[in-house]
Amino acid sequence: MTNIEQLLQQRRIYRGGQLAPPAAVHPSGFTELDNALGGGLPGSGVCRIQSDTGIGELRLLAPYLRSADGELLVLINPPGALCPDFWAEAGFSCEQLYAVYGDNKQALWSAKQCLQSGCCVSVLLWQRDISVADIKRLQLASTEGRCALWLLQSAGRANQSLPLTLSLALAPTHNGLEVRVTKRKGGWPTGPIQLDWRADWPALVLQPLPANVHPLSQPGRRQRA
Amino acid sequence: MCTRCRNRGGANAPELNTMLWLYIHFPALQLDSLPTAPNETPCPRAIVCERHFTVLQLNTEAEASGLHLGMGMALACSLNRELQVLPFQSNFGPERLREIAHLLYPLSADISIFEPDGLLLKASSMLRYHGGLTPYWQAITAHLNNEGLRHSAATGLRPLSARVVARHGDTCIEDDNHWLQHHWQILPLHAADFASRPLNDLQRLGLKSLAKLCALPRSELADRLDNTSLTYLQKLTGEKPHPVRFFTPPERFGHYRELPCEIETTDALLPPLTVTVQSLQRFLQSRAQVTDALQLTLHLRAQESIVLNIHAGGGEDSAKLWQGLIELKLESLALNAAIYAYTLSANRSFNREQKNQDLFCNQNAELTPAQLLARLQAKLGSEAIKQTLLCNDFRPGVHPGHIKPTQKLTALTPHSLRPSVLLRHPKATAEPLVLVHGPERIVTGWWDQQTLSRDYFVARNRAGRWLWVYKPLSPPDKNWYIHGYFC
Repeated sequence: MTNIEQLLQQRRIYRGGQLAPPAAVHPSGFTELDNALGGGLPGSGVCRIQSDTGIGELRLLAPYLRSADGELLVLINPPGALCPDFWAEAGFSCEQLYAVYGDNKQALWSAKQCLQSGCCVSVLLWQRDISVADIKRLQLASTEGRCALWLLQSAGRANQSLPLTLSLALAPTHNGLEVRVTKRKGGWPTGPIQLDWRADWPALVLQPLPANVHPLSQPGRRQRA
Repeated sequence: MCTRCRNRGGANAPELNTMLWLYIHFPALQLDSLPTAPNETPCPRAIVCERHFTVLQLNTEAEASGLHLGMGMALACSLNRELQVLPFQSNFGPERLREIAHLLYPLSADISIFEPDGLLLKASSMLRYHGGLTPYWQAITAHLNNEGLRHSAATGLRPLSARVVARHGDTCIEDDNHWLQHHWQILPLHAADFASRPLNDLQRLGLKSLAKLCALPRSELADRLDNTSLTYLQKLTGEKPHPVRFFTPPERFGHYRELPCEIETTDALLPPLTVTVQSLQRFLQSRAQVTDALQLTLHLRAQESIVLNIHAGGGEDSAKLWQGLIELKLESLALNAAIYAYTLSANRSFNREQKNQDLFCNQNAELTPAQLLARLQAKLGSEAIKQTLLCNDFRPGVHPGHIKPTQKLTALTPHSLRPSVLLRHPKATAEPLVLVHGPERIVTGWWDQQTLSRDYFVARNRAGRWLWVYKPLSPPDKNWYIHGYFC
């Protein structure tokens, strides 16, 4: 006869009400987002951001990354070289920023080393395909080093079920960003949350056109705002 | 020089104005220094002279099977068919003696190297420090046993008399004055370092022991012996001083080790390397120093040696950490020939700096940033890790040359409105864009062949992505290029 202990050990009983408390959170720098996420972005665990490149995914994380204490910020396989001017202006010191380039296997190995080291603020990893086993391994490393891993993937990937701490889907808007929480450990998916960046990034929002200006609708022609 | 030294001996030291020397003889220096894995079953081994094919050194297993020194290689191999034979390396002995001298240096201040297989220690000046001859000898022999070196040693009032007794094969540690003066004379004539011809002459005279030889008047001997042998005899009896040059410890670490058998996988290299890395740690810790770069040279059979440079950002002395870095470096190495030896050297070392750390913060930090970067560099290569550094240049993506990791730079004002990620190779685009800011004209670099003249714009495409695009000015180009993303 199987007793209840065995079933619990095999993890065949769902214990929704007795979940481990979610990891400590750090304020994200955006009040609307903090309210939706129960205080802020997690300080450890594997989190995912699904978005197109260049809509503001790093600018979303910038206040959070700046506030956390640690020595290094490691970006693994970013889509290009890091431009020091942006990062210096966003308040990061250049000595703490490192970009690491390698193939998929090397990237995962580096991510694990950085997470375990305990001297990183956060680790950002750009990787298209990642398996459940890899995520679990990274989760363990993340808990060990108390450091969060942010997995950046392009939007519209097949939404396989991954054991993530948090998953956000981003979409661009005229004034900033629209964030949907697609998965959260210890919480429910919410959204969309509208972030207004007219104050934070005044140069990178579309100014409303004057009432007497109508954009040309011809496709293939460049337009001037 | 032995003539100018004063005796500062302990309670049971020999008389004043006499010196006590300790000579240590290593009968199987090269064989005992072979790196071994901790749980390896010992097999009989012999070191053989390549010119005369006679056995020069034997390990205990080989001795137990009935082999003895001086026998021919063919005979030795036929008596024991499992015997491993290694060639004698004439330049290994002195090198190894220097390492042993370095090992004994904390115990004894004045050490002299007697090539090829002996060390002379001035015991009289160290007796008071150690509290007598027995504790002094025990400390030394413990160190030598720890290294697995078989040895015989003897004390003497003169360097050469101690050497004669030690090389005869007995370990005699005595400080009784009468014994010291007479014991070496009982030994047979061949125990002394006479060349074979004068030795033969003396034996034909009917002399059996050194005492008989010493009793002869020197003027008589001068007719029969050549100058070298006579001088040797005078030094042995103390009529002439024997000048001694003392060892000074080296400033850099460097160990060359031959492997007992050639290996073709790097895994097999790790156990012997562990021992060498531990001696590196002792070397550095005894000097309160750290090193930031190691050089591991793998000597390959019939191929060029492989030189591996292993770096650790801030400088390290821990054997465990260096071992880890070496393992990572070796993982990615493909061997196409067998390794027969390796050299581990640290070319620069500097004093350890104590870092002030927060007592309560960063309790979970297992590694320092420099250690983490060293580990990543060892595995991925130093090209794979890029630090983002500000540079006094308008050209985007210009890196200010080579800069050591974790080095601070003077503050520079960043250019405003730059993308977070720059593409290595700008790509042409034809998609419709909304130009939000610009143009920002960058025309520079005419002085170093990397001329740049472009009009840069901040643009947004239909999908809502913020791009940094440019249009080249010279040569004029109709295309638009994406150079970066405002991620």
